[in-house]
Amino acid sequence: MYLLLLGVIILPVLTHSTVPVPISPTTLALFQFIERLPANSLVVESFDYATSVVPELHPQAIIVTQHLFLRPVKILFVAQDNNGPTLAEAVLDTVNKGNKTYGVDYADLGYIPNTATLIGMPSSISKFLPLDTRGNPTANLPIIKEFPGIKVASLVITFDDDSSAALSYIQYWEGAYHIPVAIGATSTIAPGMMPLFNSGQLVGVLFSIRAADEYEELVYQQYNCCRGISGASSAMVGLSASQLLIVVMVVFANTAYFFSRRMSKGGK
Amino acid sequence: MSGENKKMSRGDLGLQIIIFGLGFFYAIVYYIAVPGVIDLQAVSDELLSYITAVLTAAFAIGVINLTRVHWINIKRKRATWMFSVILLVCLYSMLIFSLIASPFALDPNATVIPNSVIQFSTPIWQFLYYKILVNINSSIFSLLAFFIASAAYRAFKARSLEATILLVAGLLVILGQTPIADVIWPGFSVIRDWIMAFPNTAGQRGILIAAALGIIVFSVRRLVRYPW
Amino acid sequence: MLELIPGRVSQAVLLVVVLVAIYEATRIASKRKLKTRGIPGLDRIDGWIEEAAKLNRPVFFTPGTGGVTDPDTLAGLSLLEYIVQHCIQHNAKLIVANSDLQVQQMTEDMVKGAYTKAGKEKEFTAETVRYVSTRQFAYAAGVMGILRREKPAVNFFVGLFQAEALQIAETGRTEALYQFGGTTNTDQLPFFLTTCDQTLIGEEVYTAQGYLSSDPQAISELVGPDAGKIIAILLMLAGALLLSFGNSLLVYLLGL
Repeated sequence: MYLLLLGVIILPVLTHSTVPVPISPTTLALFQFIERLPANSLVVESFDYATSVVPELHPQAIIVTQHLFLRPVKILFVAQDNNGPTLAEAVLDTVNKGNKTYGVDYADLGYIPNTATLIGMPSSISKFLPLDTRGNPTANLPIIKEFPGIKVASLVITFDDDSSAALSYIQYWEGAYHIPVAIGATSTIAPGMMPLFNSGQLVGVLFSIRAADEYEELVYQQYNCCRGISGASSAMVGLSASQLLIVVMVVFANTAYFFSRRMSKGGK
Repeated sequence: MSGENKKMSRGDLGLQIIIFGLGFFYAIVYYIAVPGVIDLQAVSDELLSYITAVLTAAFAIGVINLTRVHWINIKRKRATWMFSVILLVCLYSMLIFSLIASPFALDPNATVIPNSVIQFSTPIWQFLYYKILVNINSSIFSLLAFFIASAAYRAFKARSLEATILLVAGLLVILGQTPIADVIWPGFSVIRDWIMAFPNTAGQRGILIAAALGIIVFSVRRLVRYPW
Repeated sequence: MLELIPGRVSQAVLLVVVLVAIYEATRIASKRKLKTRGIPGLDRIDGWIEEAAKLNRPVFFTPGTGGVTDPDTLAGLSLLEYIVQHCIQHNAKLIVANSDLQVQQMTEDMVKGAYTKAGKEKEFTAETVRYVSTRQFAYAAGVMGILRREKPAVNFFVGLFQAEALQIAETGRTEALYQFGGTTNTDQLPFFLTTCDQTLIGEEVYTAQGYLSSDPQAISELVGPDAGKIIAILLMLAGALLLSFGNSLLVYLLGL
């Protein structure tokens, strides 16, 4: 069974197969929300995942960041995981930043060390995060002068592998200052985020690497660019095949179970 | 479990007062403000930063503890001493390169550490982080795919009515999640969305509300009654 | 001078109401000596540990990847206290694996103290309580290695678990006679349910101590959440009815 699973995952990657993926409502919701953001809005991207889920969340982070760089918005990068700043830099190295300048249109503020910083950032960013990841005083950055506190942000997107960061943003930023929050989630926590999406506390939920492929398709339809940038499309056939294999195995197991029960009843 | 009603010593009573006071303070700061007199939120933030500093010291204790345990393994040449050598080499080399060349480097502006050392260490740190740490972590996480397959194979059996409902719902959600299944029949994702929006949400909310109430009672007992 | 923060007034009122309900329910339950439903798995822990001791195989416990500030971890450690007592009583070897450094220190202190109190200090070694790793999957790999090498007869996974839950539970299942899981993380509960013989679901993790404790005050942990649930159900019914008739008074009140 394990060998079969390995085979159906590896073969499509080796043959570079792709498959069209329908767009989920939760992915479309986030895309449309970002498309409707007025020019010069502030968006905060939070990298809250560990290195183990890089294959799942990194593609989401890349394509969403690329979308934000295609729009006339300002972006701040933060992190509640200590791997976050490194992963944020890796994403920044991958995307096409166009005409945007560091410090003016975007900045990487680094790691949010504790809840006190999270609570204080809406009022004053530079007081709680005095330096960015490049050693520059945040108070001197033009983007911080324009947006001294997070409370004027139009959106917070967190790429989260255990929902703790998303819940903290909902509790401290969405609840207190009504800043919209969206999450790029792993497949294990995404179902748990649905109650929050249905109640309006989240404006979008990206389900695992599949959402990265969906989002890439949406960006391509709108901007005619960026196909393949996240690398998610190459995983879709393998993902589909492995899930279908599990369905086939479960059906097979149940068929065998029914037959064995029938035979044992017949034997009596 | 500590079931006996112990008489509190003076030290225990003092500790209980501190525990209750701090816990109660943090609870009321969320609901009550005293404008113009004292900024309660700022006080609680300050206390939280002290607590964070104290808890962070535990990391140093942890590294010391780990080093001590594995050093004893090596010294006494226990069965797994070679692995202890590997562990300590990996631990301290990653520590040193991270202190010099990571985004959390001690001296990013090369004030004390020579620039040549930083230049030498940066590609090594990047190799250790991106080529080894990220890939190893992802590999262990990817084992989950095989475990889920075997767990699903074992668990999704129609032994009873409830198990059959679980089986059917589970299969429908898997099919709805599968990108290629929508090419076969678009209804799969519609069904999946309905299951996630209604039964899944209802079940999750029920467990969340019950767990939250359990936390309230558990926490109040911890605050009010020490020793636990 | 003192003022309630806008947007949190209804939460404060609800919290007070729930706390009063919990107190009253506890008072009534202890006066009338109300019977509570059992949590089946908890009764079997003692028998399982005894069996592990007879087979000369260890008992394994891990409180997951949470920290000292996580209620799940604290609830897990409460259960560990019970397990340690029974391991000492039956002379079963205990292995505890931790992910968090502060939890490591707490468990080391707790387990060592229990052994010392029972006069069995020599049975507590450096291998009894082990720190594995703070990194989630390094912890998972470490625990999987311990389960493969030590082959414990009984595994306890009670605390805060993330994606590593299935990996360690599946690995433990291959060698263990019995497995006991418990977490409030709804994403990992299905995995424990499929791999463990007994599972504490959601709030049962917190009420377990009340069930196992001989302290009469501990009945609050069993009855208290039920009182809160009744209030929650009544509010939900009232809200659903009012909204169905176009009245959003309750929504307004809860938003104050």
